Order: sequence, then C-alpha cells, then structure tokens
Amino acid sequence: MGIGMAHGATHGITMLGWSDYVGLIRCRAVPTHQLEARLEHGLGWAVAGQALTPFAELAPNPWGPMAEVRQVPDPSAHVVLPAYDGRAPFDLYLCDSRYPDGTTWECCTRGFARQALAALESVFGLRFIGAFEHEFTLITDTITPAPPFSVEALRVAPRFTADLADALTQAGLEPETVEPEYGYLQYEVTTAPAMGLAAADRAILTREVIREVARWHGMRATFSPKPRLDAVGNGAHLHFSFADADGSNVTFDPSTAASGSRTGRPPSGSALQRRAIQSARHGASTWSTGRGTPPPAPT
Amino acid sequence: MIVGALIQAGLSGVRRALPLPPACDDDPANLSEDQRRDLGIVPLPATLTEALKALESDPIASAWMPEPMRRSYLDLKRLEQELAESQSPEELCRRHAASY
Repeated sequence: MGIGMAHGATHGITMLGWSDYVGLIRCRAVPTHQLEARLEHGLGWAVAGQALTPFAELAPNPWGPMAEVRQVPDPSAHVVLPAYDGRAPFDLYLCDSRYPDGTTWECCTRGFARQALAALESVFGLRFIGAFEHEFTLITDTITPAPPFSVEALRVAPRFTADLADALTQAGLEPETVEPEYGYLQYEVTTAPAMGLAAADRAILTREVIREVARWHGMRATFSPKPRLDAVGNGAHLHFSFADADGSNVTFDPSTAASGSRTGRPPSGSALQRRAIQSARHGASTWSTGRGTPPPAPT
Repeated sequence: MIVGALIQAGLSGVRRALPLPPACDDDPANLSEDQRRDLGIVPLPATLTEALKALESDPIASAWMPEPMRRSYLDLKRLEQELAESQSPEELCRRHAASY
C-alpha cells in the first residue's frame, strides 16, 4: 500500500514500526538512505520492550535486557506522506519480528494474525476481508466545538479534514468517509475493505496517518476509549467477511435466517462472532472496559 | 491481535462444527433476562480482570497463542490492571488520552 517514494530517497528518516501487546505502535528508525540495507534483515530490537504497559512500566518478563529479535520491514505495509508545510516527510514501515534465521518470533503480533490467516486459507480455502471504522477525538484549544454530526463540526476544522482525506488517499489507504461524530471534536474515518493481513495493516497505518495529520495542524488525535470523563467514547468497528480462492464473497447465504453461511463451510455466524468479540475484549486496555457502560455512543 | 483472535475464534467454531445460534436483530440491552438466555447472549467481561480470568479459564482461547506469548501477555495485562486499580478515574483518563 506504499506509494513508492522511499526507495532511492537520499535524505530524511524512515520508521520501522510494530504494534505491541497494548496496541501502541513502537518504532526504531534509520536514515532513509540506509533503508535498502535494512529491508532484508531488519534492525535488532530488545524484546523486553514487548513487556511495556501503555505508559512507562515494564511487566515481569522472561527476556531480560539481552534477548533480541529482528524487526524486518515489510514493503507491503508502508506509507509515505511527503513533507507538509516545511515539516519532515512521514515514512513508516510495519515490521515482522523475526529470529536471525528468519523464523517468526512467537510473540510477534503480526505473526499471530498471519498464522491464523494462513490456517484459514490452508484448512478452509478462505481469505479474510476486513474494513475498520476509527473514531477519535481532537485535542486542541483552538477549535470551538460544534453540535454532533453537523456541517459546523466538520467545517470548524476544514483544513484538517481535507488534508486527512488527501493524506489517507495518497498513502493508498482508500478512505471512504471522513466525518463528524457524536462527541465534541470527535470524528470518524472509514476505509475500504482489504484482504488478509493487509486489512490489519491498513487499520494500524490509518491510525498513524490520522495522528500525523493532526500534528500538522498543531493538534493531537486521541483514540482513547474515554478521552475525558465527560466525553463521548471512541471505538473501532471491524466489519468482516470471507472470500474463496477466486475472491468471491462466501459469507452471505440467503437461505439462513440471519443470512449467514453455516459453519462447516465458511466460518461465519454469531457463535464465531460472539467468541471473536469476547477475544477482542481480552485485548482491551483497562480503560476500554470503563467505556463499556451504557449509554453507548451512537455510531 | 484482534484479527488473529477473530480468525482463531472462527476456526475453532468451525472445527468443532458448532451450530449457528439464533439471530438477534435487537439491542440485547432491550431484551429481558429470559430472552437473552434463550438467545444464548452472555454479557461481555465488564473489567480487564474479568476478561483475563475468562481467557485463563478457557483452554480453547488459551491455545490460540504460543505459550511464550500467552504467558507474557497475561503478565503484562495483569500489571496494567494493578496499575489501574491504584489510580483515580481522572488520572486513568488523562494517562490513556496521553498514550492513545
């Protein structure tokens, strides 16, 4: 999904990033002119970093300060945004965490998704199609909040929203909507569905592009599930279905009451979805469980 | 991790040939206890502590992660929960907005 500018670039900095257990994107970075040498074997990384909370504390872990893996950038998960208004370009790869022999580190979150997707394909011949919706809140002193979902709410930040749509498009992330949400200074971005691991990569890269464009405008975008105690919460929705080897969607079966295909064929149905949602909550932060009390934000 | 867990959940359901449960086309919060029970709707864990207990007591979900990942993930999430319990809601709110 990169737009193919970094290769051959001779200046600036390129970030090699990964999503950790708490859903933050951490990174190391190299001068862009050295990237070519890093594409094959990546950069070493002390894996104790995987034990970081969302703040600064380090959890007990078996790794100690010496254990390392390689963070190997994947050219299929790459965004470049050119310099904006005199600022530095934004150049980010997502990485796989690998041992020096190339095998996947057992605690690599991207490897976790990759392995599950491979099983889905090898056992059932199915491919995952996913599209995310992202809600976020702008933190700024310079914009007067406006009513929910209103034209006013979009137009109080006209450059930000227009630049965001352009940046997401330029990064190849295929935005479908950039719109005001229910909360004050809350917005939502949806992107087109993507296939397999690219769906997860797209979700991560979209969030980072949103943050970057907010920074361009002197603001912060927060995805915190409750950015203020009296604020409407932010969520992320995942819509998903399955395709066969030909790319045809096989999730829809009009003969069932819920129009979902039965198990034994495609893994759809609410048993899957309930288990899946519960699993997703396992990955939630302490604070996102605090958001789960009614009334929920309309979305 | 959400995509990985979602797919594993689906694979688990299909491998065990679980039947498709009845559809629910209303907000579960609007249903009675009996209606929810009939539809097999169970509330999600309300706290991280409950969610971690649910994961630890579920051998199927536990097997989705390689053992080093399962152990280190649980250790990290337990610390996150302990830290949260020692902070006021205002502080938690502020720190999460700063990190996320």
